[in-house]
Amino acid sequence: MICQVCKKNEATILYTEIVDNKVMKMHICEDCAKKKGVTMHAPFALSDLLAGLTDLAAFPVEEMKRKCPGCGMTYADFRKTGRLGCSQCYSTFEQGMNALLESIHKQNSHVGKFPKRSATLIKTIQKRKELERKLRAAIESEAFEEAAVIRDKLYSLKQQAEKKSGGAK
Amino acid sequence: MNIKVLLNRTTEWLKGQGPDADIVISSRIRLARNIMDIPFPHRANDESRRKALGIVGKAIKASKHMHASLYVQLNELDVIDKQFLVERHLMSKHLAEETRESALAVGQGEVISVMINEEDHLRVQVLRSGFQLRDAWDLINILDDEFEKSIHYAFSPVYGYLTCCPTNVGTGMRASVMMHIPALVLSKQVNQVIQAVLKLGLAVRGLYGEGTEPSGNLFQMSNQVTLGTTEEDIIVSLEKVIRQIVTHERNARVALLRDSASELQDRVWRAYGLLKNARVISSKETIELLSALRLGVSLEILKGIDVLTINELFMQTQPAHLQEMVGRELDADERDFFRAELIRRKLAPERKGK
Repeated sequence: MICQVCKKNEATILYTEIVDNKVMKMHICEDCAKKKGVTMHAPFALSDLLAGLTDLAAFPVEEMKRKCPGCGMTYADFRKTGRLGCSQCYSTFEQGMNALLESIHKQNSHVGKFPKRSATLIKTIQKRKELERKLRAAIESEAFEEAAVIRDKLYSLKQQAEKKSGGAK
Repeated sequence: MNIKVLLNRTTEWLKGQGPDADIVISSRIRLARNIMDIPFPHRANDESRRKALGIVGKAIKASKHMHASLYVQLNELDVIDKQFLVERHLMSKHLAEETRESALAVGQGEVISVMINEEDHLRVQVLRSGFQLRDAWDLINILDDEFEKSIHYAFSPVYGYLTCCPTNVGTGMRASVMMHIPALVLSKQVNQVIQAVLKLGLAVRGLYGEGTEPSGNLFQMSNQVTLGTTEEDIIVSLEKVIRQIVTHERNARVALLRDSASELQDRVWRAYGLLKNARVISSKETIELLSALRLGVSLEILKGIDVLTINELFMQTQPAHLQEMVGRELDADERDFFRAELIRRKLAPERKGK
């Protein structure tokens, strides 16, 4: 893509400007970006990555204040540093986390290796997903009695899982 | 300090062996892991950090693969020691700057290293010579299995291995290769290659990782995405890209030899002449000249010099290595003097290969 300002160089930057409350987006080259006073960071710097993610203004204030029971970190702290405080933070900040992970990784759930000791837990999760799928199908086909049975199974499965995982989601 | 024993040892990954070692200097895989129920290092108090050290220390002692490894607490090291370990790619800059309870364990041949209380409780790394990502993965996977027998990792079935920074969550894996691509740089194709690599979602960095400028035609390419993809897929897709870059570099070398043989030979022989005769030389100049020398040796323009010698010089001419070698602190001028002396000694015909 050619720079939309000088129309000469290869555009490498998506430049966003707010003029009269209107968001303008254009693809521009590095030289023109410098002229516009944009300072260049190394590509993929974490702060840029996080800053460019979910719209902070659209995030509810009470969510920003949400505090992790594991380490006392708030969501606002996390957004400032880009670092989480403990493993519980992931479930505490789940609401913002999924969108965030999706913008970093284009995915939000793990499919790779898992610790051997978590094997039963993983199987429980897979079973849960399967039951959830069956539940949806049952509701769609209006088989409400079957749906109720599946719902109960799901409920007991979830309780078991919570006991075993000991807080970490 | 016991880390000095490393000074006279040959690092496995510098040997210049393994597939495509003329272009791919080294392959590295690192895993980020945390211990369940202990806050991540930056959020942990001293007691928690000591607890993490104890748990990981025990796992290291129990590991077959970490037999006879070197274990150092960061507070036992002075600034030069730390810089020395960073230059050897055994430790990150982040850990070097850490002032609280942290440690480093280095396995034999410097293939495996484990940083404790870096950004995550564990940062395990395997570094191999040449293009051997798969070998590196096989080894680190076994090591990880060994560790998890005694370490209860922070793991979520949904998010995978939980890491301090969300950019590492999931597999916690970063796979990277260090490439020497002088012909792509000389033929001005390197920017195209980098743009293409970035578009594929990979990261490109210089010799010393994040935030470093590429020098000496050395580039480090690594995966960015760690979640929603398997370790196997990360390796396969990185391998594909690297294989293509290797082919492009090979073609560019052939083209240079065909179209501008004299200029290329001149560049290589001048580099050799300067390195063999300089009395004072900066680190920057050294890296550029060593790069030309390495190309010359790969293309057999120059014979009788080991790739190992050149690879080692890349590392040994770094500031902390020179200071560890001489055994005292050196200012910049002194370093330039000792650097030139070291290079002349290593390139002298009667000492070649040493």
